[in-house]
Amino acid sequence: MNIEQTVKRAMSDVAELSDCQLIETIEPDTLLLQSGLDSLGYAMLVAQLEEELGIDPFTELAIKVYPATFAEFVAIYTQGLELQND
Amino acid sequence: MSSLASLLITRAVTPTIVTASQSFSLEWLLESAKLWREEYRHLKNKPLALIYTNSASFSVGLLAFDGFCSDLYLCSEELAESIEPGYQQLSITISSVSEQHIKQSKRATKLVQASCNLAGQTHTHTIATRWWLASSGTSGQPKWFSHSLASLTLSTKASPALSALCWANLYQVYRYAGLQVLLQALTSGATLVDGSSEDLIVNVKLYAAARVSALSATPSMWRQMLMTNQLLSLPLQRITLGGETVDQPLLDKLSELYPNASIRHIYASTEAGVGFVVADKLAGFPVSWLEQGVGSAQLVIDESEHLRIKPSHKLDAQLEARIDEKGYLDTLDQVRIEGGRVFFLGRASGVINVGGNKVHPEKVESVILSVAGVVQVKVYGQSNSVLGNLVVADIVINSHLDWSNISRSVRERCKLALQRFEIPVKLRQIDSLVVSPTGKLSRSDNV
Repeated sequence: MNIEQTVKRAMSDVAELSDCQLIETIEPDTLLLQSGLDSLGYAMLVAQLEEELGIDPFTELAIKVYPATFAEFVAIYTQGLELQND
Repeated sequence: MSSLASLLITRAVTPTIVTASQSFSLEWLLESAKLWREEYRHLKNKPLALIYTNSASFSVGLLAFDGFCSDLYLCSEELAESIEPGYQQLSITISSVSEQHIKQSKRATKLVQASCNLAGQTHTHTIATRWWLASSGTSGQPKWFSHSLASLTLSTKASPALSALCWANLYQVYRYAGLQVLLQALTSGATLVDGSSEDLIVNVKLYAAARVSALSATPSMWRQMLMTNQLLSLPLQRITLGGETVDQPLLDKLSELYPNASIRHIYASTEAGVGFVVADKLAGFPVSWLEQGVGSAQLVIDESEHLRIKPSHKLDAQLEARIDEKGYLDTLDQVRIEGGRVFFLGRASGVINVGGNKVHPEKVESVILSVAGVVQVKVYGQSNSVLGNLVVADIVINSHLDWSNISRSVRERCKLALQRFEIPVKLRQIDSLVVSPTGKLSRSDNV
């Protein structure tokens, strides 16, 4: 499973747990704050991805741009994993 | 004796409150306050629960009844339920304003007249109103602490530079932090923008249109603001963070975006009615403040590594048990000294701060323990980069029972009995929990 799929699946898991309703289709340019997850949902998503992928890129000082869209969110994880493997 | 209305008049400030569709001048706020006071004149010297609806209406209520009622309980609808039933409850809603009431042009004579009317009443009859603010108590039930206008406005200042600011308030105005922002905006003659949408992106657009230059929010809210991708559309000069521990990466990110803005993080205790400001863009506060004090407050760290604070004003009598012989209040905030700074580690009581919301582990534990098959439970915070902390529960069940059934029941029970931010995001099955010799759950032994 690639990172995008992992994030999407984690989003639907978290939506169910946190009683959020995800929008039907999440596109790369979907705004995170309009995807259906609220701040608690995102907090849970970041915690779950940390368990699955072993990283929390938001604790790193290196984040240059805060993610606003789904694609940016995925990119931060992709970048984080690349840095880890370097 | 001073009241909020006479304080604004003495300072000769003219604050304005702006919503998506309307603008309320001080003249209008004072005139409305006068009408409300006349209508409710029987409340003189009596307690009143003022229920928040929006910033302009709430300000009218504060201007009308401070210096008039004996006590003002600042409430949401929900908090009002915990108030003595005999007290008058008042929810002021100013949704549509008739033409004659909107006076955008601040005609001096009118303003002076409106001010004098209220101030006249204030000067002759003013009483020292006790302002009551709710803090969540140990059982999760709200606990009320009294303040005075003097203590609440102690750190507010007025100057031409401050009056030119345009504030947005992301806090609940009936809580300590939100009230501080409202009072700062009012008493400095600034503009306050009231964004009432549930959607942060909609609010940020309103803030951008209104040219908001000063914004106060919790670190979690700031992270969300960063996620809107529109934060830079605000011409921010003054960035304020509070309500949660502030971390260095967030301070760095904000100072990178706004290199010329003043970035201040505020440590405030609702109970003590005191706060101090750290403005050097570094997390924690300088260790030298333990010697020198800060503002009018003195600080010490006790042998349990709790921060103790001694404000210049008198503390609420309910806090007596936590005040030492020298007058220092135990804030129950655990701190650590490192590299010349004092850092906050969390609440000694185990209270978990989830994005500025306080969660009492004992309350969550009692809900989980009510599920059949649960033998022991420990609820604690797990640090999280989005909301500061999330709630996690370690659960011991009867060994012959099925974990998946019990964990499902626990989730269902929690959904019924708890608020969303209180529900554990993770349930872990464990074999046993550490219990102290006195039979209490060991809270220091977190994962």
